[in-house]
Amino acid sequence: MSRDPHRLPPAGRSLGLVFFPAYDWAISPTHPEREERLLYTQDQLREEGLFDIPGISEHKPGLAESEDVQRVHFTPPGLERVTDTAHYVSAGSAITAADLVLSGLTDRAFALTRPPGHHAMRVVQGGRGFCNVNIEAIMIERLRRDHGIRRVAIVDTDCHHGDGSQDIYWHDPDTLFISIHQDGRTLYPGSGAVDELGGPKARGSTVNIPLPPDTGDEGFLLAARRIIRPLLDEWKPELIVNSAGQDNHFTDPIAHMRLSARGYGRLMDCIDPHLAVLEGGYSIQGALPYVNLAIILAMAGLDYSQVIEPRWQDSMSSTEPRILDYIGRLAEKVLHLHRHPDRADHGYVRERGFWVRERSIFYDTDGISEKQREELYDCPQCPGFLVIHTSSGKRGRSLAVESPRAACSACRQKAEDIYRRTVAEGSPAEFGDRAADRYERNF
Amino acid sequence: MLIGLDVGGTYTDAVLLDENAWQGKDAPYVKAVKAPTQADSVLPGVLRALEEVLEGEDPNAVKRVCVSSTLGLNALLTGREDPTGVLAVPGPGMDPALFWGEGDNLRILSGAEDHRGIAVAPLDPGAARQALRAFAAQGIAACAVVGKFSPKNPEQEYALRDLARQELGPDAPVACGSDASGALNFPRRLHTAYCNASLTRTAGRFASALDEAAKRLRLNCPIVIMKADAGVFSNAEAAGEPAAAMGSGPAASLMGVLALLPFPGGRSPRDLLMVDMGGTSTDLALLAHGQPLLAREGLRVAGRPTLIRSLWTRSIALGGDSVLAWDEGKPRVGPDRLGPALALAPEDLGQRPPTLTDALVVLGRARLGRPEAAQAAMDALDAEAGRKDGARAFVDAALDRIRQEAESLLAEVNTRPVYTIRELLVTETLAPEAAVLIGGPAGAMAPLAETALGMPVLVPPAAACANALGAALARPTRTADLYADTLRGRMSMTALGIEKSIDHRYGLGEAKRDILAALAEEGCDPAQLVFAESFRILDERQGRGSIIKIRAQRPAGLLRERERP
Repeated sequence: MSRDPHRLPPAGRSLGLVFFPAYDWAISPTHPEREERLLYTQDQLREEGLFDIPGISEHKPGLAESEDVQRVHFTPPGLERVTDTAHYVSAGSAITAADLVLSGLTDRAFALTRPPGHHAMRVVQGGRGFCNVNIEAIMIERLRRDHGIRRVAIVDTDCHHGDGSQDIYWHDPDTLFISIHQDGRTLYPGSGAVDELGGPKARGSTVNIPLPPDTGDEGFLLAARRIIRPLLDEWKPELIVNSAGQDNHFTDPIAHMRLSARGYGRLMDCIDPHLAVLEGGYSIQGALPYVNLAIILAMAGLDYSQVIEPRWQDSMSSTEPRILDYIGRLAEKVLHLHRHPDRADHGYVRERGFWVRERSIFYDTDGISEKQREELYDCPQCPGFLVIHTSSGKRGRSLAVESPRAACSACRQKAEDIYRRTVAEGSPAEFGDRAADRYERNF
Repeated sequence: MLIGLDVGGTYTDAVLLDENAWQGKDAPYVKAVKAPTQADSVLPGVLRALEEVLEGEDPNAVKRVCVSSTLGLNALLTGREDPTGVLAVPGPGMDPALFWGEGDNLRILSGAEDHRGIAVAPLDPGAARQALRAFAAQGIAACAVVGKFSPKNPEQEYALRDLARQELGPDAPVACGSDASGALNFPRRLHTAYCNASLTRTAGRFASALDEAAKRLRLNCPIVIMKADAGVFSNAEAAGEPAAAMGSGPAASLMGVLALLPFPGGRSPRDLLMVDMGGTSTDLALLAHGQPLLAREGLRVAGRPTLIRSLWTRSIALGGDSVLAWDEGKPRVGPDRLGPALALAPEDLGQRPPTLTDALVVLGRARLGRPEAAQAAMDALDAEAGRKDGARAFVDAALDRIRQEAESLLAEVNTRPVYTIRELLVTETLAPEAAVLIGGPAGAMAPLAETALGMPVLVPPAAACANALGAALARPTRTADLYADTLRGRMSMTALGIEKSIDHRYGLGEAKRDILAALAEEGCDPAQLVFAESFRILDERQGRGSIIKIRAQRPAGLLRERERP
């Protein structure tokens, strides 16, 4: 049979899209995280005829289960008080996307879903930075259970530091977390400095690349080529997940970067993730339709050179030479610290066999202040179990105990003992035994 | 009386029926005839079938003639459409060179409208004129003009249309992308407009020929044309929008099934799979909640994906005339066809492979003309492969192929994406309660099909001419999309040629009334809403407003008493 001249060109790689705009869900009517956020993106993707391209397929999201959330999060106010159906669909979308790739149905997958998740930490007292539960972490832990994968790299390209994902994987040596973002000294949530390198037992598994405001296409690509690509090549993850925030775009109303849609495409070419999960990005008219299109075309191995924003001019996405110089020096610093994490202070103190830190966490979306005391058991055999004392003005005190996937049997037992003792005292407590994929609570 | 005609690959069927007494009978028609379809032209078969079915009848008693033809489809499949130039305004996005065939005359023009229909780059009329003159110089008289997001704002398309008429002449076929459909999909809009422009003259000639034939046969009634969405439109409308009439075959058949429900025994499944087996091909389609299930996007024709509203179908190159062969020890049915079946041939045709119909004759499932001819050919084929059970193996292979396609069709339907939490939680899975077999070989295949398909198989009376019956009884359909943006102050229903200014108070209620009234104006009353969505929007500069998207349709259905002409 002769080649059909009118068929759209096949994608260079097959790509599964799970598109879920949640048109019936918003934080509030005027909130940036509202119904219309993906409206124009959907129209753009439809109008481009993207779903007619052989190799690009659209998939209906599954629903995540409460156990998927509990595999990742402790929720002192109660699971049902911090989540609603939208969160289960959003996480379910990411899981559906991941299953496509791990079952070999598609080479790559992109979950274009909302609400986002990368500001949600291990303990969830409420919403932070428009996020309640961590979509990527829920997906990754489900993959680890269902597909037996271990080494996963997350590359967070949202303009805001992915502090939630960093917190969840802070003590996990099997997860390489790389965040490239606008310098925390100039943008929410403030964290993500170069010397944040992971917990005392997982030093170097967290990598932060804080870029100065006004970084454009060349600046991002420089950082990606000098830092991200070499680290991924060296670390050899089984799976690369991109937290695809789109607020680095030069039109974003909240952040101050200058990446173009084509710049995003080139960034994707460099990172080459198996999976992408949509995070932030609130220039819903000027950026999202074009950025999402470029990302999709790049992931599918198709040409994105004509995805040029209306009225775009070179100066809108250029990077000043002094910023390029700065990024060059930053790359050296980041790589140096990654290789010699002992050169920076991890901020924990030793108390009776535990690494301990205390901190305050603010939930800006819900206006909640949380006090946390984190105790990591310093086990010579394993990454150690984690005890978190948490309290918030609204919910009072509770305890969260986690025994990680790689915990030794002694640590699993000790962690469970602490939980049982707390329960016997009548105090509220949660317990996650990740090796057994078991979650318990007494309230 | 009503007349329905359906052009198939092998035969053109025609039925004459009494519009008030066709239901619940063993033979629900007054008369059914068959005329052979000519390979190169559909008109002679249509005219012959029409003449035969009218023979001895009073032409004044006929209230409507409906033709379901393969006219446009065949023209495109054989490359006999008119040479057509395409002017495209793609703006930002995928490079159109990626999805447009090299041989076609595509000219990319500057200009752009964005996803809200806001003009973000101006057209270049000079460049457009230059492109049009180049078309004219090549002898290209037909033209399609298509802009990205034109259903949201057809201005740039309309400007190009005016230029095209100036340059190519006032009678030149010029098709606007946004005229055919208000749905989004730029590549499909390009192909749809191309089909419309390139078939305008062919369809016009066919329409005139039908009108002349009607006059000659002293018919004094409307002539309508079957569409792929299982509805009909007037002969004149079909000449203006010929693409919509392509792929009407399965639609006519499914309407025939709908017309024949409930089947004897009172069975009237609301979700069913239609298997229409003709001489050349087998079409699958679905009835969901008693309604024909339409495809999400549109018809694909001659490799061109379009926005033509069409049934959600599968077409398999497998039918009664499919040639049987052993392929490395496995039975193969089709895709080649060779008609007629040996058993049906008036005389010995010499050495020739048997067809699926011959296999059914050998199995004693069909009693036709010369069973010995079928037997001999099947024996020869068996001997060649050293087997004895050939006939059954071929029929089973055919049924297995149908089962696979049906399963894949259902999987496609049941995994369709949804976009709201509510839809995700309530969307049902479509699981047909029964399969309905129609077409020539239906009766013979049915007893074996039940096991193969794993569901009850029903064969309605008049299964062999259900297609023509469906055409006779299908009612008009129409689909319109409304798009409104209160911050832009515009509302458009391009497929109905409507565009107007609105103020900031324009809301969903008003929009629903507008679209239903516009459809009623077109004779489509009552119409129903397919979806009606309103999105609050917040523009950094313009403030708060809303975007409204509505699709309304007069869905496919049978002519009701009062509608019968």
